[in-house]
Amino acid sequence: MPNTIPQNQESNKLERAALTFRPFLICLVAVTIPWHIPQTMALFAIVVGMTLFYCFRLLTLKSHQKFFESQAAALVIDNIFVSLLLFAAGPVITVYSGLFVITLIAATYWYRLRGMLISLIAQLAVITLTNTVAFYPPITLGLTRSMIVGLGLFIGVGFIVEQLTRNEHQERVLLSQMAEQNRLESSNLLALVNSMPDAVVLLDDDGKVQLANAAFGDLIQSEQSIVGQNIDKLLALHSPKKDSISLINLARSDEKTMRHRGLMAVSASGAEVGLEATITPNTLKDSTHHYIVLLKDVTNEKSLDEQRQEFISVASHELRTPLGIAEAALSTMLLGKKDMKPEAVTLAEQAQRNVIFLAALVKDITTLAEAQRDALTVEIKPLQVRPLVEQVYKDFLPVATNKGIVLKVQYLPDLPTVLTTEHHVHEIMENLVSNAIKYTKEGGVTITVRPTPAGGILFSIADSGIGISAANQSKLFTKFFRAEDYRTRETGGTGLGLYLCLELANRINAHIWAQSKLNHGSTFFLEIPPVSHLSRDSGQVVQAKVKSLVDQL
Amino acid sequence: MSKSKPKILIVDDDEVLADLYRMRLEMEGFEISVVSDGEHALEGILEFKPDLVLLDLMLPKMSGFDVLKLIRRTPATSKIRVLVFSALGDLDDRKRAAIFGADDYEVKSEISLADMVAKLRELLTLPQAKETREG
Repeated sequence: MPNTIPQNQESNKLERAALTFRPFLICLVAVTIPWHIPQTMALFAIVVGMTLFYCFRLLTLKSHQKFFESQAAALVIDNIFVSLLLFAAGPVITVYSGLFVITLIAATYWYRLRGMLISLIAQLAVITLTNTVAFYPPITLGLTRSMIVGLGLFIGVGFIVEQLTRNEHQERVLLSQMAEQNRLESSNLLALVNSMPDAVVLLDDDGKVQLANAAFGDLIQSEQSIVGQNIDKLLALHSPKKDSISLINLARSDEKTMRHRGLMAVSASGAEVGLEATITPNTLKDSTHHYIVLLKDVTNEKSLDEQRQEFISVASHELRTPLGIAEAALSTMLLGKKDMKPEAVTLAEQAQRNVIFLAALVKDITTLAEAQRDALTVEIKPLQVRPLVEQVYKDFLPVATNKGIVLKVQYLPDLPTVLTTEHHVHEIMENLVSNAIKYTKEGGVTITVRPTPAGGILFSIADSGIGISAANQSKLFTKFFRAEDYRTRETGGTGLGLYLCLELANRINAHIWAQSKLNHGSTFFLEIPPVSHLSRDSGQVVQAKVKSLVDQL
Repeated sequence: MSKSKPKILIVDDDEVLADLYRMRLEMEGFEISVVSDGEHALEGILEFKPDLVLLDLMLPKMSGFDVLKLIRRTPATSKIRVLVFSALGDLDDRKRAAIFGADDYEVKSEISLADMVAKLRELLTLPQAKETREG
């Protein structure tokens, strides 16, 4: 594209030179006309007609640029007029001035000073030669006069043209330097853009491709020209759920640079390609928009992520059977502890406790891995609050009763229906209630369900347990945090429970936090918004929120 | 519950685990039979006539899901209680098992053997759930 600029410049120059010359040519012919002969009026008519034609042409050039697109054609028309003039003037004009005009016309095609000089020298040579060999009748006084006038005019014109072309020459040198620089810059830029592994496309507001790099060509595997084609026809995107996505609609919806994840496309070989699009909208001077779209192939990255999940899932799955066996063996062995040495019983019990602990750890890790993997597939449905709480209550009642503590549930009236993922809420509630019972030796645990002013639901799990010191509260929701030293622990816990709760809560944009005072029990809160939007973001925001809340206590 | 011992059929290809369970459950007063693949599961059920099937999901020859479907489709066995006991713990697996008619689902390692014994007793003392629902 950039190399078209000097070309335009060149034809403009040609045009300008031709237009500058023509009036002088006309003047020259007019001057050489002997005024006493009858053809004068006709010649004048042609001269006036041509002058009008030039005025008309100049005007229409401005307003009908397209009509006069071909500069060469315009020049041909010009010169036909001049030839006509010469033809009409033929009988009265001398062969010298005729030759002179023709060489000038030819010179206008080469319009350069050089062409001009050559035509001048040739003209003089021809005059001298013809005079010497006396091929034509000798030059009369009148003719000499008109020739002198003609030459004077020609030298004047030549001088002007020289000035013009000198400026133009410099201009042209500058332009060609600039063009060269442009070409270099654009080729560097193009090389840079083409060497990018990510596809880059420049789209106009209609979604037509203005520019695309090599990676984009590779992505769509198109043999045809890409420029000017509609992006959505070139690249059919869809979501993981197979809904088709229009890239240009995505682009139009963005005010600023936005990253769109989870896009899929089918490559030429038929394989699914995962894409991530970064779209930067750009408003041009004439208030039209265009969009710079960066498409990143995340197929492999995703599969790496999936591989990790797969590994965790398989590893934890493979751990389950041996853990189950170890626990079953120890448990069965301990049935006969009356016949065993006390040391053996202690050792076996230690082994059993640790196997159970290990199993709990595997369970938590698996749940985390599953939650991460399922982030895009879990369903958002109206939450059946009472059945969920009843289930948790039913599951934990025997545990609480065994420990001699009271487990209570209370519902406040006017509970709204919230849209969220039951599985996650259930998992969080199980963890919170299990913790509450675990850390309570006497008294009770109360689950309260109440509506929030925002239209969501707030679960609170209050215990009369050991409480959490202010220092420990800020670390509550971090990975592997346990309030006690795990070696001296009285309660079994993996240290992943609350971290898991936070991760899960985060996924359904629920808030989770705690209030506690050492030795005065703790209350954990889970606030479910009216509608949950699934997100895969990390827990940092919520974590910060938890921290600030705890700091206020 | 009749005076005779409650019968449990263990369908699991892991011999160590199956033997341990057999040992423990026999100590706890159950009558136990073990089959080690999916194909022999139905055969074993028809022969042994258990009150409950402890069914693994990942079995050689025929998956636990298929065994479960087969149990529910065969009139003679359709009322038998089935406790799925697997190393698979996905929500999807649980859902599938529930859809195919499992009475309960436990993940290996996530339930201690003592709790499992309690769970089995609880399931066996309940009236045959499917029968009462349908009858």
